[in-house]
Amino acid sequence: MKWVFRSVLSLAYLVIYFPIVIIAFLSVNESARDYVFTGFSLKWYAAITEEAALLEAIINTLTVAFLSTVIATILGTLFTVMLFQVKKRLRLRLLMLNNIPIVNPDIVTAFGLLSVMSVIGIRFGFPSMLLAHVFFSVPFVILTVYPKYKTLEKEVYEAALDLGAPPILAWFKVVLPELKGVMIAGALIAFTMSIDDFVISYFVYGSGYQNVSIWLYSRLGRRTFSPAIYAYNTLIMVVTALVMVAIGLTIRKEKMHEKNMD
Amino acid sequence: MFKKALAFRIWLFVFIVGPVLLLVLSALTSYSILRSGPIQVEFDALSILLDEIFIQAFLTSLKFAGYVTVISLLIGYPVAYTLSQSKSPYKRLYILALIVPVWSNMLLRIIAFEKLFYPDSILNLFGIQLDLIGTDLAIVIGMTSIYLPFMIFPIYAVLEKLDSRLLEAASDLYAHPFKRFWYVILPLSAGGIISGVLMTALPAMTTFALPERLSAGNTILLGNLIENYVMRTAQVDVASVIALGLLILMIGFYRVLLRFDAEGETLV
Amino acid sequence: MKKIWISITLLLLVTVLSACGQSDGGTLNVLNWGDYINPDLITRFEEETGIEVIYDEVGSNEEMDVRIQLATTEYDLMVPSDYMMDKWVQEGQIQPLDFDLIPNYDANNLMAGVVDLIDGERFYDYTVPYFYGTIGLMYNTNVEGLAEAIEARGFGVLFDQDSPYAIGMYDSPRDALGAALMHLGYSPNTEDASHIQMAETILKFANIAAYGEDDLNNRVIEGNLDVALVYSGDYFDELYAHEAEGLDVNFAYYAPERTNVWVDGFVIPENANNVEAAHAFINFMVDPDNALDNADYVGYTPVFTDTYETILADFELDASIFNPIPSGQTRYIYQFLSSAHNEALLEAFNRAKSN
Repeated sequence: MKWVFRSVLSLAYLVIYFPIVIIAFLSVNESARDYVFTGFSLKWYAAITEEAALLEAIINTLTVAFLSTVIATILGTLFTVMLFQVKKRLRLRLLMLNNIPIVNPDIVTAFGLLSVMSVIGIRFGFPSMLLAHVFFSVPFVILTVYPKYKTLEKEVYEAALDLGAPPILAWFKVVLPELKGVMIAGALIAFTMSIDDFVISYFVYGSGYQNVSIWLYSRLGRRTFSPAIYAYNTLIMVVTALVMVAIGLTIRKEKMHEKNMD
Repeated sequence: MFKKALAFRIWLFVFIVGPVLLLVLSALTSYSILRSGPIQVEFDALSILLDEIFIQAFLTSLKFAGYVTVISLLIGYPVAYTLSQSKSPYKRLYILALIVPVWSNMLLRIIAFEKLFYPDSILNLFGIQLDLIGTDLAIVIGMTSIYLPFMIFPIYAVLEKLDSRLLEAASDLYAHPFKRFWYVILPLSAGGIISGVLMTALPAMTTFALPERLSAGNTILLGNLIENYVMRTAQVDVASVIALGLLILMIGFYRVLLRFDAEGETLV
Repeated sequence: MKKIWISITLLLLVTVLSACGQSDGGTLNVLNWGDYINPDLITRFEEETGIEVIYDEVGSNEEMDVRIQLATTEYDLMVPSDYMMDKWVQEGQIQPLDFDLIPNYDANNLMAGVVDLIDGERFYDYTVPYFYGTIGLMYNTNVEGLAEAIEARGFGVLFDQDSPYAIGMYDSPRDALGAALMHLGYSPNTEDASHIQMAETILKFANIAAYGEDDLNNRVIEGNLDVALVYSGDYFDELYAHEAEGLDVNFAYYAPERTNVWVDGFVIPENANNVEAAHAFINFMVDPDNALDNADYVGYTPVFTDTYETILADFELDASIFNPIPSGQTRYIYQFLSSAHNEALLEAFNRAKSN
């Protein structure tokens, strides 16, 4: 029985990682024509810094991801706090509305945002892109912070108040440190969603402010396409993988530490 | 601002209720974000729902969503189950390894498949020649690769929270592991399954870049229709009707989910 | 922890400031097609004038139309094709040009064909032509018998029910149905529903391997497609690139006698913010040296006689295909008839595609 599960597990990782391996393979292909492999080369890694438009798109992607994550994490945490100022029935209703962007097909969200932004009159470009990314990140932050806050609200916060701490102080000194973990988790999800987004950015971009996905989509099959994008993607993967291995090593150390303690 | 969650309510109103209202206005009246003018009730755009183009796209979307959901569930459930039962010290690493690919650009992963599915590709180097562009298989492989993690996460989240004492009690009740699974574990993970189905089926019906690339423009899903009507012909009213239809479909799915999971905990 | 917050705030400030900050000469928002300008020229223009160019790209005239109507970015300069200019003039979306601000523009130097295309048109006072060209068939010359078939049957090779060739079709209603209409002997501007219906039918039953845009030319070169409907520049573009890299040329272009000819031009939208910079940019681009540098990069046919002659000689091109309107040929320019006509074409196209 066990081998069945094992092979399904391997199959899953294979299916998910296959395109990433292919991208890595294309990134070291010497030829600019990506249907023939002419030899190993790292030139596309060097080319990342030479392709001005791609480099700009990478910087834009990271800027928007970073800023939208920070803003969404703060905003999402504040909104969660607010949720506990209203009765449970209303709270669940608001929460339901909050979850809509998570379940809603991207293209519907994108089209909706395009409509709202053009009615409000937001300039398309950096502002619209940042706002859109904050918008679709906030629900994820709320969803991760909410369950933890629910338990804190009852126990810790009230205990602090009982001990005579003023509400604001009690919140910052007692509740916020406890929330740190879930806020980071929420921020991580928000960052992941932002760095990868294509559909929503595609509908609200403008003024030459492109992210990597839009750079890619608008250059498919064109002369301005550069395999440097494969190199960029592979670099991101390598960095993430290194972080993971680091986490893995700490886990092992902790385990060994625990064992020694026993 | 804090007292009655006012700021949050304004946020929700502007960015969640607002777009829906605009879609309804645009679908059912002469209102358009592209033009100003007097607003009158007008149902012309609704005729798209009876149009051959829409029906065809809807059925094709359902077909692919069906394929991908079933395949992802068949692979994803055992994976989530194995991971949740695992006692390996590297368990967290396995889970993280499912998140890493999401950091890789989704569109680029689609392009990677596209490059391989043409007869002349780098696979020729290994003596392999595929000719899959335009076939259903190409789209199903691409979609499964991209959406599978979104099936695994919610199911894993639910299974991970199952009380081990409950499982022990179940083993006492049902000697056979299959019965234990069927009568105890499966019903308890229903919320995760529904959430996973929601997170794979809806994107599969509405992606536009994936079918465009992997079928070389020969397969049109609902997402392609919306993109076409907005970006190529500026028929925003028709796009609104289709978007509203999808919204209603989504709410239907979502209500089922809410029965199992009132606070949306399976969604992250 | 504090340090992190301080640095985050700082970064926020810097980004917001840099997003607001403008360079001395102001900014110029340009909307153009992809791969349709020599990027060096943008840099040179910025250096010479101190104006910052913000450059957006689109894949079709229709997308330009959406962006201009949404008015979410106020563009100062756009490069649409003839029929879209016609539409915009009728709708009052663009403004007449001030030719005094474009001293480098010499209308007498325009190719005779271009003069024919713009003379007497509604948009005559609203535009400076940019490039012109045809749509036609790009094919892989390694495929046996294909060249002969194309010369004998023109667009007909695209519409065989059981074609032995892998066929690529341009993913645009105007061009795909246009080719079908011209093959059937009708005008691509016909409003007759039965003509459009017939074009839809032959497209529906045609054996199309791929719909695409600018990527079709590469598919033909790779050998993944045998023949595709493309814009003339898609072919010349690759031809220049192959010559530059010294590669073998395994592809050719054929423009059937009855085909579409189009001309793209600079226009300034009604709501442009920096009209002066827009004129300056046009003036810069029609400067003979710059026009030549641009035509060297972009594969379409230059609109000025001098530039045309130089490119023709430099690359040793075949004038019968490089000149979009050789004498004695029937060429059609697309006309904007009505929104209803446009929508009818799109619907017919979508129906033909979804089979």
